[in-house]
Amino acid sequence: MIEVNNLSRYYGDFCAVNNISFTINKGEITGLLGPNGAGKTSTMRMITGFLKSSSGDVLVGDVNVNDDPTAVKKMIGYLPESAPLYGDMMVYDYLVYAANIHDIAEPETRINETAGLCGLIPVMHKNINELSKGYRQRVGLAHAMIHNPEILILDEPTNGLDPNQIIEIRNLIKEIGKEKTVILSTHILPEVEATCDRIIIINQGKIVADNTTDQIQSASENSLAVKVSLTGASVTDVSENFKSINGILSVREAFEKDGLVSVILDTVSSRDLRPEVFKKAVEKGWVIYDLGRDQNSLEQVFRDLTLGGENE
Amino acid sequence: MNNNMINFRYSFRQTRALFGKELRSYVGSPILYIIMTVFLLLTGVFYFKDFYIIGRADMRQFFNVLPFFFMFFIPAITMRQIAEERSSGTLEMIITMPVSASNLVLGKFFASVAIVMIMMAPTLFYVLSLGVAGVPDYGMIVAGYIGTIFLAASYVAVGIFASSLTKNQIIAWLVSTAFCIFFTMIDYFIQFIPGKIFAFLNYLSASYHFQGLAKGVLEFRNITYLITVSLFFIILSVRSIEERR
Repeated sequence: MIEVNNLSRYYGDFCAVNNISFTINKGEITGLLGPNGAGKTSTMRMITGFLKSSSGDVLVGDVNVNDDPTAVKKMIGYLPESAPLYGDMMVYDYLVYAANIHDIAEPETRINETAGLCGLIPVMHKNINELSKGYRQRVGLAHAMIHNPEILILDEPTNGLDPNQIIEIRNLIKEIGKEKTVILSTHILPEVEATCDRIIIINQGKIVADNTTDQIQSASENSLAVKVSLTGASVTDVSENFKSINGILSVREAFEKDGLVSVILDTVSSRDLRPEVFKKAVEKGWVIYDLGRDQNSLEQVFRDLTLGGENE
Repeated sequence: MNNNMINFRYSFRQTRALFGKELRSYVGSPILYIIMTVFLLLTGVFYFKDFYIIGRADMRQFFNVLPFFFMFFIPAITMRQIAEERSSGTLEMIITMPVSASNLVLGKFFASVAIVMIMMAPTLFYVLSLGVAGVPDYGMIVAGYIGTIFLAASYVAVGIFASSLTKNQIIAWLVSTAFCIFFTMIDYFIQFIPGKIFAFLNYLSASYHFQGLAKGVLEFRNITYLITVSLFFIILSVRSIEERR
């Protein structure tokens, strides 16, 4: 559905997107993940034709964006970051405007459908600048979907929303994603875990990982970390003793608080090392308060990939 | 994918939507009414100053000063056009819809010209007051108003171009006012230059052509000149939107 070939974009000397290639299949929900300034927005803007590429091609369907931007724009619904809208317009007027720009034959029916799907019916006759951020984002989504495009490109769709709104928008995206090809960008990890079939991690303009969400998650589980809290020993004591266990690579984030020593143990093998850790503690006579896998393992993968180990 | 015929089909619905949206955003904003009030006050002063003295039932004085007001007021109307959309990000929304840059610029152009005509509408009372005071030469006045529309169109085009260059409305206003001053006053600057250069530079002056029209002579070359200026800056605006990506 979308083919990106050796795409690059320079701003002066600064390289925002550096020779990236990927293909997105019909019906996939793909998450573009990366820290702020990684080149996510530039990549999306080049797919939509808003930004010119410095080199490389984007094919949407079988159409090159540079050859026939209008045909590509008809296939794509795009929601830019923070949903820029005309604040002085009513929601209903705005949707009529968007429908007419897309030259939709029966605007009234389509507006009602889209407004219903995006939950906009109660605010149809409010001015856009009176809306909460969550509703603004929904208007932006409705704008992107008004012409029933095959592809939706959403730039940080949940940015700045409260937790309830985030879940609502995510559910909406999942619902839409059943029928459409969706690309969304985010720097929030749980977001891709919750909504995406596939993750492309971008850092400094380059793709550092591109796989299904399941595979990236299991890859992160392979280099499992164990989190343990105990009493009865000093931090250095605990660190040194655990390091001697076969399979434990390093000990990090070790600290002591109110007599409770907490450490995170990175392991090399895919073997679960929790029994060994437990035995070691028993052997030393330490009392375990918590023993578990590190919850943020995907976050760790992300940090490893995007920081290049400079934090460790 | 989609057949190419559709892409080249002209969409009246689209043009109407763009034009209507622009017009409505002006009518809904207080800026328009402030500009209109000040414009009417100032032109009114100039119009009525000589109303009784000259004892002539015409609007020559009014049309004489009109370009000088236009060169400040029209940039104030057009300055937000593209600059505001660029700074608020809505330009990104429009450009990523299947709208051509030329359709976008034309929508803004015609909406602004319509706004100038609305701004000028109350001056028709001047014409009525002339009718009460004497027997005016209506042909000349009609020619003056037709000239006004074309003059306004050329200034609007200049203003939209300046607005397409920047995110900052103040800069857009300054740049377009500078352009308009150049086009309005170039024939004042060149009084001392003799011969053929004078004729050429004079030909570049918008007010020279407008005054031709305001004298009641609907000459083809005057209208052609003002249309050419409008087209030239409309094309530049389209290029500037397409190129700055």
